[in-house]
Amino acid sequence: MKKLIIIPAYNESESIVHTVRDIQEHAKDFDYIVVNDCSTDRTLEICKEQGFPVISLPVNLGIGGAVQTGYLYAYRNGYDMAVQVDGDGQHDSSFLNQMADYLECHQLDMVIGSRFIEKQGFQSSLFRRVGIRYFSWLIRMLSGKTITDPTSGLRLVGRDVIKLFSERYPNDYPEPESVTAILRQCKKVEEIPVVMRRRAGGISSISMQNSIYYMIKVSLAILIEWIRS
Amino acid sequence: MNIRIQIIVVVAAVASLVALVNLIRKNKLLLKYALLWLALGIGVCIFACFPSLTSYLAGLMGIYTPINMLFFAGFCFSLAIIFSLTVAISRLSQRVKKLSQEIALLKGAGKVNSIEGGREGALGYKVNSTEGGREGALGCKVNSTEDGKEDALGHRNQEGKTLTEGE
Repeated sequence: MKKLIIIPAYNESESIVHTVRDIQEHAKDFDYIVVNDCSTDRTLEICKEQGFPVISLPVNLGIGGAVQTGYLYAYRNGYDMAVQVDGDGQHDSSFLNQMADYLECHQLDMVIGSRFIEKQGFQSSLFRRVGIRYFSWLIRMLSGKTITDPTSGLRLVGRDVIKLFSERYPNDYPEPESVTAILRQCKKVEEIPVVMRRRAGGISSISMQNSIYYMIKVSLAILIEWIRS
Repeated sequence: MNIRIQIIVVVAAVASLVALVNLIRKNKLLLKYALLWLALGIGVCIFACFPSLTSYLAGLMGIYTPINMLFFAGFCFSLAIIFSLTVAISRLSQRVKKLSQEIALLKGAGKVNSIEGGREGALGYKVNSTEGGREGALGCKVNSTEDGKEDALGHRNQEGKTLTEGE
């Protein structure tokens, strides 16, 4: 089983080394690739200095575009599984093997690492949690499937979904929309509990002002996704 | 506002909204840019359905008939949409320029007016060096064949296989 870890990174010079070392230690049978989303800080230089395999995007595409680049790479290089681990250090790579085994055992298409099943570790702000509960409810209304953490970036997918995502992946706030898209295609999605950490350094890309726009846009996107034939 | 114009406006707005959603559904339109159009369609519907609201706003702005206010507001909003598209186009132009430059640099410099057919072109640049195909004219390592570990972009594949771009 060829497994790839996709590490999207935008201005993560503070946390990228730690994130990759964590992966090197806990996920030894995974390949990994850093996707540098045209960072303006020293992220790319640091990756080159440390010898991390890195894809450097010539223009900034955002999280959606960067992760999709990773999926394209995974597809073209024949990987059987791909998992996203954010460059900011929030995702704990000791769960990766567990997720990979779970996917294989139960013949799933996607395994999501959810913060909210056992409610351990960093639980995000109240504001965000309300938003996440809302998306959880919306997805359940449409598909009947309960996803407790639809915005989680820690997702492991199989070959079919790698192909789907490499062809179509939302540009911004991609997680809830992409889950809805594959649920619509009757793919099997399950969650396992994970523990996430507070962001190690840098700034988050979703701010308070963006939140309203985010909620409206993603809700509409999910609804339209559901009526796609 | 009489009932006839109300019905016409609402029907037209709803039909447009349906067409819009359909285009988004078929991936011909990006939701991000269509949002403003959706807002316009919904806004027009609301104002046409609640003439009292329209009358109130028309009075505030000093416009004689509510329907005029509706069209004026629609026009202003459309201008805002067009402007936002202008901003988007400007951004896209910059990005396309950046991409073009990156591709050109990746391709490297080609033959430069070489009469001798040898190693130095007319401008004195080393062109199409035949030493071992290792360095392109810009000094980039291109198609390194030494150990298959680094591909054209300098990616080291942990398993030691050469990565091929585009399969």
